[in-house]
Amino acid sequence: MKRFLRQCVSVLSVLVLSASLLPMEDAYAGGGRGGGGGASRSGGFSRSGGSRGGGASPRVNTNVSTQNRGNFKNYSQPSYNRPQGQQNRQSNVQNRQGERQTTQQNRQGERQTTQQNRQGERQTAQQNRQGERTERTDTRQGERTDRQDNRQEGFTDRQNNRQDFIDDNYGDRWYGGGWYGGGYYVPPGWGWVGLTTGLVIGSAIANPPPYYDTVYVGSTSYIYSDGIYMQPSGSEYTVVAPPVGAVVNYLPDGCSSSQVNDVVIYNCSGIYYQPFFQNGSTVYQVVQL
Amino acid sequence: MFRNQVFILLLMTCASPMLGVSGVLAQTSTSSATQAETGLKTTEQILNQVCDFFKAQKSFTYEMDITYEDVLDSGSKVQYSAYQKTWVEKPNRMRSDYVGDQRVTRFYYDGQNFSLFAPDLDYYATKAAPESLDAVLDKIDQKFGITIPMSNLVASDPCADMKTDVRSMIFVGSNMVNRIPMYQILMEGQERDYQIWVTRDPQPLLKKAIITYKTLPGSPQYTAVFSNWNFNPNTPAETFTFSPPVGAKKIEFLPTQVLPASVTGGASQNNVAEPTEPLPANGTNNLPQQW
Repeated sequence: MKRFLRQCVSVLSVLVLSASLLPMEDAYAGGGRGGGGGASRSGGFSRSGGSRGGGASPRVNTNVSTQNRGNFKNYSQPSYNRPQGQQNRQSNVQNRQGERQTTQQNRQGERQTTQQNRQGERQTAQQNRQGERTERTDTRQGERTDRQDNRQEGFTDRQNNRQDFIDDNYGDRWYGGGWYGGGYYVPPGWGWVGLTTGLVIGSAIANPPPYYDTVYVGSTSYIYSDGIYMQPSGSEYTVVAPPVGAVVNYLPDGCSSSQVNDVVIYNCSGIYYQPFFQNGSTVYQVVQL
Repeated sequence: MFRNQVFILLLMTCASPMLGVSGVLAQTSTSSATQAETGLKTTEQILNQVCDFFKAQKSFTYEMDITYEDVLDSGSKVQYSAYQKTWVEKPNRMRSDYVGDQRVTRFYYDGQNFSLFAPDLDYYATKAAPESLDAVLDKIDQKFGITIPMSNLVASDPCADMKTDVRSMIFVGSNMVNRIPMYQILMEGQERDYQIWVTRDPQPLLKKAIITYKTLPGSPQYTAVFSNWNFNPNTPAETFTFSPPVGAKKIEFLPTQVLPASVTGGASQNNVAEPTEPLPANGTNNLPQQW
């Protein structure tokens, strides 16, 4: 015990000595102010940008964005980009809880049945073992082949998805859908919605697009994705004409810009957008000419 | 070999309580005599040193590497990055170049006007500005929704708002930033938690800050790692004045949009800025007559 205490005392004295020396070490390690890592690209503050203005990425459905935050001062920034997202999540949580309860009940039921079956099985198991062994070997071989096939299919699917994603963003440029007089082209990432001939105003889809922003004009909300505007209608989403006054974070593909009387206007196949700064980023508002 | 292991074990055994004690000492008020003997400071003293130091600086530059989180509808988080260089000359000059995953902008304030420039799109907007940094930072936020990350550091009282919000302060320990141990302090606020890492120099310097938005779904975080502090810069005056490059196009600011009451649950949301101008509903307000 005495020896342990002596060792502790010596260790503590070493620590105290080290503590008194540490600030000196830091002073040297820091190299004065401005040391440490970080970017030293004084002249490199540039980045080749696409046509995206800013805000949320069009590829994901952002519920909360902190892009325009990062201050100790409590500046007034919107906390929710898409409030309905939270409602969806709440219902998901409720569903999950329900699922959990059902699963637990099922498990209990399964356990009882399994125990009864086991007792019966034991009696006949010994007799059947010999025959089962042969069958199992055959089955295993079959299962192996199936699994390999499945893996191969999964791998191919994933590759296809990746390929789509890369192509869509090739060269840091966003390729979205577009308006072409009689209707919209279906944007590249939208294949699964089941429409192959284009999205005409008034047409309905069963599911929302894979990625979208919610935009408001007054108190009316619209779903925006790749130049296409939709509104929920019953259990479906109906394609509507681009609402004048809507403000979006990015333009669809195929827009051309012109400048008249110092005002920049984008013509996106007959739909006109004017660029603005809003919340520190470039946005585009649907305007009527 | 065995002796070394025993020594390390003893070191850990004995050092743990001691480190705990030093943490407590750093957290709680001790007599000035004890402080003088140990060289320890309270957490509040360290924070005040940092805040007072920034308050006293008139001219400085710094860089930040930023990461921030977005929360998706699915609840998953995605992280984006940015870096920013800031030039400050109190009381009325500032510039901030921001290069991020989601936007690239430069902010200029020369005491008379402020400008926002998007170099990748060649768009800019310029407005008359108030005469002080404090006033212009408030104006660009309240009227145009522009927030310059960590711009509270350039305000006349950099920590005033944070101190008002903080309910408790905890000394976390000596933890590393870029491989160098720093004092890490956690401050718990009403809706946000703040963590800062400051050097253990006699004059502590801010090296890292994290803001956790704990009341938002998913509690996203905003992280800034500071570097290249320069408190004696020789910044040319033209750095703060925006001169539109050839071919750059002027655009306008759009007021921050207010979400409808039906979306915010019947009441105006706390964090949603009130516009000072009505949002154009038909989109024609800014167009020339012939359009």
